[in-house]
Parts: sequence; C-alpha cells; structure tokens
Amino acid sequence: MLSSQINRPDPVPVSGVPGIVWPAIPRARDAGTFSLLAQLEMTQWWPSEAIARHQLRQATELVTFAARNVPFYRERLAPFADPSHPLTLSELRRIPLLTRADIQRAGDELTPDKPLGGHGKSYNVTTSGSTGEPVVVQKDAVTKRLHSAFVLRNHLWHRRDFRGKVATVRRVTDDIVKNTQAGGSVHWAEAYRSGETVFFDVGGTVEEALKWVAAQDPEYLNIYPSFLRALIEAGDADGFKPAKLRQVSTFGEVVYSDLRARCAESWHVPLVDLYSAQEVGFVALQCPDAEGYHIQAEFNLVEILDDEGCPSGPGETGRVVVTTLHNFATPLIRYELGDLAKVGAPCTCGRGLPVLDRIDGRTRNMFRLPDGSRFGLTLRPCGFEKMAPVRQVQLIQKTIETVELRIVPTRPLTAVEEARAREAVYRVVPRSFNVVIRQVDEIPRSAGGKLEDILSEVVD
Amino acid sequence: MRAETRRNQPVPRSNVSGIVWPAFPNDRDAATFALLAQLEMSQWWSPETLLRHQLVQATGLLRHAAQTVPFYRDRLTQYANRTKALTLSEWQSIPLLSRSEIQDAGEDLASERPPAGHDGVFDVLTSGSTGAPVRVKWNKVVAGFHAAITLRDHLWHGRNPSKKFGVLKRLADDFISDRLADNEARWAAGYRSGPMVFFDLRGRVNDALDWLAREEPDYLMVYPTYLRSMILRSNETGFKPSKLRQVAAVSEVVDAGLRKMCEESWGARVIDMYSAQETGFLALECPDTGLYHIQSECNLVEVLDERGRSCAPGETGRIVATPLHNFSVPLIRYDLGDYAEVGEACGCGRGLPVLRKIHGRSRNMMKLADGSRHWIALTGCGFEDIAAIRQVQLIQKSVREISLRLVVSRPLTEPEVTAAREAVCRAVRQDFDVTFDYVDEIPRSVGGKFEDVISEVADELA
Repeated sequence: MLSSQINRPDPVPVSGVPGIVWPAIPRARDAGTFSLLAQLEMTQWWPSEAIARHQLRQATELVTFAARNVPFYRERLAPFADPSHPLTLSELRRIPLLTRADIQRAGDELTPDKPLGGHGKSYNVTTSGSTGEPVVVQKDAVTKRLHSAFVLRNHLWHRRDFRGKVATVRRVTDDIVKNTQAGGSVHWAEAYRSGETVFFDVGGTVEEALKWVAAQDPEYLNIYPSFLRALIEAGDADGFKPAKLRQVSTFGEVVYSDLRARCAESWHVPLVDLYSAQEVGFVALQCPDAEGYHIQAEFNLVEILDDEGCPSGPGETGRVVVTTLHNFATPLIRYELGDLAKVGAPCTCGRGLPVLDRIDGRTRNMFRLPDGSRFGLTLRPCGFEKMAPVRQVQLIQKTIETVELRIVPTRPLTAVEEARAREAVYRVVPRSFNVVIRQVDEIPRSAGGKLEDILSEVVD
Repeated sequence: MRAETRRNQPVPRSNVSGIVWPAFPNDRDAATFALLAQLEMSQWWSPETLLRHQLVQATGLLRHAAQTVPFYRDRLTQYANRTKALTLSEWQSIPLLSRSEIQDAGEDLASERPPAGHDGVFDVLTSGSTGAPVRVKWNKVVAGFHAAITLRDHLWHGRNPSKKFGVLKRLADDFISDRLADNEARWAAGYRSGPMVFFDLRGRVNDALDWLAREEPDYLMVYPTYLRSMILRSNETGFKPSKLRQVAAVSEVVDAGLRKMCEESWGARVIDMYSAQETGFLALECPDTGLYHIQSECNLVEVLDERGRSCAPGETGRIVATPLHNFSVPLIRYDLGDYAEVGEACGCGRGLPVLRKIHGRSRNMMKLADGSRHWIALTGCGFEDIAAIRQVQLIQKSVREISLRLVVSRPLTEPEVTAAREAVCRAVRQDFDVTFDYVDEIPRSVGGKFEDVISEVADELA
C-alpha cells in the first residue's frame, strides 16, 4: 500500500439527480471532466513506460493529423506521418524543434486547413511574453475540458477544501470583471459546492493587496511568487498573518526555496507551486506527497534536452520541450518553451508520472557568458533593500558584457548609495561585467502580470 | 494492486476523433466513468468517512420512503421530514425488512412519486431458490451504479476488455432471439469490448465443455457448482481450456477447494463476488488479498448477530443491506437471509469494510439440536474420492435426520457407501441418521443456482 493512497480528501461533486447525494451523479456538463478524472486517477499510478507508450499513441494521432492538414507541418512531418504504426520515441526525437519565433512567423500556417470535427469551437490564447511579440495559439473544447480535469487533479492532490474561499492576485482581465459583476461572485470549483473566488489586480500596490487579503480572509491564496514575497515582507513588518489561510498556490514565476520557508515561518502554511504556460497548459504539478513536480504526462509530452538535443538524465538541467497531445487547433509539436528544468529521479510517492526536481524558469531570465554558457541568478544575495531606499529593482543583461540595474527609489539615490548598489551586483554576476545604474519611476509587469527581476536581452 | 494490472490498465473508448488517450467517452459512458472517478477515490477512504457519507445518502432515501412509499408510511413516519443525517444508532433502530414482507407488500413497496431523473423503471425478479420469487424494480440510476461497480470489478481484477467473455447461466426463452441475434453482445461497457458468448445452463455438462472448447473464452462467469462439475468432467476427458485466465464465480459459495481445483486443472483463477438481484453488488473480491470488500458506495451493508447488534471482526452474522440509490422500490435494512464473517481491516489499504467469508443462506446452514446454525462445506470431506459419485446434495430433514441425495454413474459398492457415510460425518461433525436417496438429477433452483446443502428445519427470525 502507498501512503499517498490513504487519507484522501472526501469532497463529493454536485449531483444532478434529486435524492442522489453520494456518490454523486455529476451534471451532464461535469460528467465529461469526471470521466477524464477517472482515467487520471488510474494513470498517475501507471509505470512510466506504460505512460510513455500511451503518449506515443496519442502523439501519433496528432503528428499524422498535422502532417496532412497543417500547412506549417506538411513538409516537416511528412517522414513521420504513418498512422499504421505508432511513432517511436527515437522517431519523435528526430522531429525538428519548434521555437517561439517559428510560431510567430508561421501565423495561420500553424492552424489546420479544416478543423477536426468534434473538437468544438476554437478560440485564441495569447501568451503574456514579457518582452517583444506575444505568441498566439488556438485552443478548443477538447483542450478546455482536459484543462478542467487537471485543475481538479491539482485541487484533489493538494486536498483542498472546496468550501473555502480563494483569493487570487493576478492581472484581472475584462472577462473576470464581467463574470464577477454579472453573477455577484464566482465559484472556484464548479463541479463541487465550492466557496467564492475573489480577485485582486496585480497592478495594485503591496499595501493595498495586504489590506485586501486581511479583509477577504481567504482559505487559499493564488499569487505570483514575487508578489507573495513582497506581501509576506510587508505583513511581517506590520505583524500581519492571514487568519484562515491554509495554503498558498503560486504560478508563473520561479519559486526560490527560501520562499517556501518564509511562507511556512511567517504564515504557517505550505506553498504549492505549479508549472504551466498559456500556450501549452499544465506542464507539471507539485507532488502532494514528496518534493518535486510531476510532469502532467497525460496532457503534455515533455522532454528535457541538453544543448545537443539529447535527453537529460536525473540531476541534469535541460531545456523544456513540449508536445501538446490534444491540441488539434494549433498543434505544437516539440515546442521549445524557453524554460530550463532539472530532471528528477522517480518519485517516492509511487506515481509513474515523470519528475522535475526544479523549474529554473525562462532562459530569458538567465545571463549569457562570452563562452555561450548560461547561468541563473537571483537578486536576494545583493540585499539592495538594506543599503538604499529602493522600492523595486530589476537587473537586465543588455549585451554579453553589460548589465543594467534598474532601481525604483523612494527618493533619489546618493552617489555613495549608487556605488554600494553597483558593488552589490557583483555578488551575483562576474566582475567581467560592466554595471550601469538607472533610476526609474516604475518597473512594469508583463501583460500577464509577471514580474521578472532578471531579464536578458541577449538573444540565444 | 498488482503491478501487472497497473501496467496493462485499459483505456476507454474515445468518442472524439484524434483523441485516443486519455479518452473522451461518449455521454452515456461518461456518466459511468464520472461515478468511477469517485469510486477510485472513495475506496481509500476510512470506514468512518464512508459511513458518514452512507448515512447522509441513506437519510435522503429514508425521507423519500416515508413520504412516498405506502409500506413505509407508518414504519418510518418519524423520518418523513428528517434532513439531518441519522446517527448509526438511530439507523440501527429501524426495523429489519424480511423477504416475506417484500412479497406481501407487493406494490406497496413502490414509490408513488419517484423523484425526477429516477425513470427508466424495470422489473427485477430474484431467482429465489425455493418458492415465490421476490420482485423489485430498478431504474436507470440503479443501473448506472451497477455499471460503475461492474467496471470496478473488471479493473480490480485486471480484465482485458478486448478479450472474450463466456457466460453460463439459465437463459430466458426470449434471450437468445433478443440479445444474440446479431451476435453483437459486448461485456465491457465503455471500452472497445471483446464479444460475450452464452451457454444455457439447462444444457448438459458435456455440452458446456464442447461449447467451451469451441468458443475459447478468456473469462468465464459461472456458478461454482457447475464449474466444479465441468472441471471434474474435463479431468476425465483430458480437456483443458486453452485461453481461459479467470473464472468469475456468482451466486453460490466458493470454497478454497474449488479455487485450487480450477487453478490446478485449468490454470485459471477463480474470482468471487457477492451480489443479489434485489440489491445489486454487496461485496467484491479484493484484488490484493482475496478478502471481500463491501461495496459501501452502493449498499449500506450491516452484519448483525442474533440480537441485532453489529458483529465484530471474526464474528459471523446475518447480512442486512440497504441499496442506497433505489428510490423506485426502497429496501431499507433488508435481511437477505445470508450469513457472513466480518473481517479485520484489509491489508490492501482500502477502507471499504471487509467480509472474510460469505456463507450463503441460512437455509444452507445445518441447524443443531441446541438451536445454533452452522455452515458446512461438502468439499474436502471425501465425496470427490468416490469415483461413481457425480453430484451430491445434503438435505437436513430434522435436527437428527439427513437425507443424502446422490447422482451416481453406477451403483455404489459397499465400501463406497461406508465412505460416503464417513464423508457426511466429516462434513457435519455431529451424529445424524443418514438415508441415501439415489436420483437421476438434482434440480437447480429457478435461477440456476445449485445448493449443495439445504436445511428444511425452520428458523425463527430474531
């Protein structure tokens, strides 16, 4: 018996048939999601080779379809399109990688001449990309239903009590505003009798956010790691701790290990992270029973590749390459997400879903050295907040030998303070770099609300 | 669950082009899988959590019964407006429902106002080994739960849906024309299923073996006694089914001897289940330990001692079941007349309560002079060593007399008669007057069940 199989939560879905409470007969609109969840409840325990085998079967369907119907892939996939035998892993690995720039250039060429029947109406999803052109892909009813099933898996894995209130700090879109205004409140797990979900726009100040959290008093908080850090620090200064909070979920940015500790110390709650991207959906979810992240292999075929394009082994960090297995509206086949992640050993929880030990984030959040190698860094060791009156900082690699430190000060910095700040940058970058200081009024978040405090403008 | 089972778990049939895994089932199958999603989780809940949810569901059923079912109007009047879940002790104070009460009540047990969505009502006739059968009604809700538990049974036991399933049962006269005309019967709903083939139990064992050799099913569903006859006969002829992997035993008691015999002679595992027409699934064999897990999600099953108290692990008591979702004919605390031994928590980790042994009906138990009842098994007592004995049935006529019915291939020799007497002694472990009754055939019950022990000594219900 596996420890993870006991003490499961016992939420019961909303039943669509009077008199039947438990087990519920889910409403027709939820039954599809639960029919997927039934499979996910089993597949998570499959041995990894069984999961890989089924992934390749599904990938064969996608590749064959794309080769025949999607202009961009017609030539690229011609040698791999043979529905009569499933694609092998080594064949898959011979398919050229798809870059962000490829997607941008391809435009409509990435959508099929004629959409595949039964997949519902497609709609555009625009990635938030912090700089430059956003990437636009299409999704449809099939990807949407799968997404709902994985959202549910994440809730169930982390034993969330659906009755609780969820507070979400993010970019509040017009859709969210419309929904909240129309219905008064929005519920966060529609297939269950669930609590309310409330939103705070990430454009607000930390002080406002802290007041809002205190007023809402939620059981769960969804938030970017950078905003969470700011919130905890501000809370510590005021002696504030959210009273009912049971769990914090983070998304969108790298979670540094000290943030988990900070969250536990100051707020006495666990931090649960997830790894997803707009264009591909869920890539990995944090394991409920052990450290590390489980690749959501029923949804995305994820490869971690070294610089030569060979698969990275446990303990090695490589580039994240994703094939969205069910998106026939914009097939993304071997799409290089631009992130780095460290491969983990098989999980002690017993699940066969492959493991990532750590998500290092976007390569654009790493610096390049003259020899072509990359390194990841954080600004914490610099301790800017202790040496100068700064509200926010950002370090940008402008060229292969120059970095720019952008500071939003509470008052203009003195020459001495600037010199100290420059010196502090060398705690995280080699002395070979020139450091330029710029005092600015604001460091903008990305369209999606992410704050990237490390950014490289040096293209690969 | 066995690693092998996990490795080869089947993928449902997908209804959306291009999507094979995870599958997008069609609407009807999605409803079954939506239940299965819950069963996959609830099987690991603690017994306390399961009971809490059962009592919530049972309270709704009780209220509905009190309000709309004539039979219960007086009996349950105090619960007609009850919304808060009953406690276990309140539940246990509700009178038991006997088989004869169901027969007497007739239409009075049917709801006058079934709730919306509980339509698609159809009659279910229990086989009833003797006398009058019991008639209840099912509807599409009950059938939906039945389908989900059937799926659980297939998944627990690692059945491959693409394989062939053979069923030996007594077929209704219109069965063949209705269901088999197009030769399209399928057994694994929701999957790309292999065929299901049938053999009418009225046929002879030799014919059944011919059918088995011809059809070569991977799985077989059969009554244990019939299975025994088939194996014994096949051992004589040297026949062994080539593809058979598993035999699903239904309706009668399975003993260790039969499991061993089937494994040794046919190389197939016997998987037991405990169900009744009027209640649906009561318990399924654990895939990991071979004990029986009560199917708590569809039946609230109690095992009660003679004073009506819950039996503790190791104790044997009467099975009382409440099918939780049948709002057409609510059976509340229905005394099935079967006996079972309660087991300790299962080593597999599932919280579904455990039955260690299912003994069958009280009419299949011997009654001794002191009034106590005992389950006895005829296997391993020596009958199988007497070559001429084809079939045996033991009928208790009184607390002192036993009639041994025998089907023999030739008259027994004197030493064989002595051996048969000794076998009876070993089986009953008491002094009885034994008379021999040679017959051409031992008839099965209406539904096809075979009872190897029948007690004609009446019993008073507590």
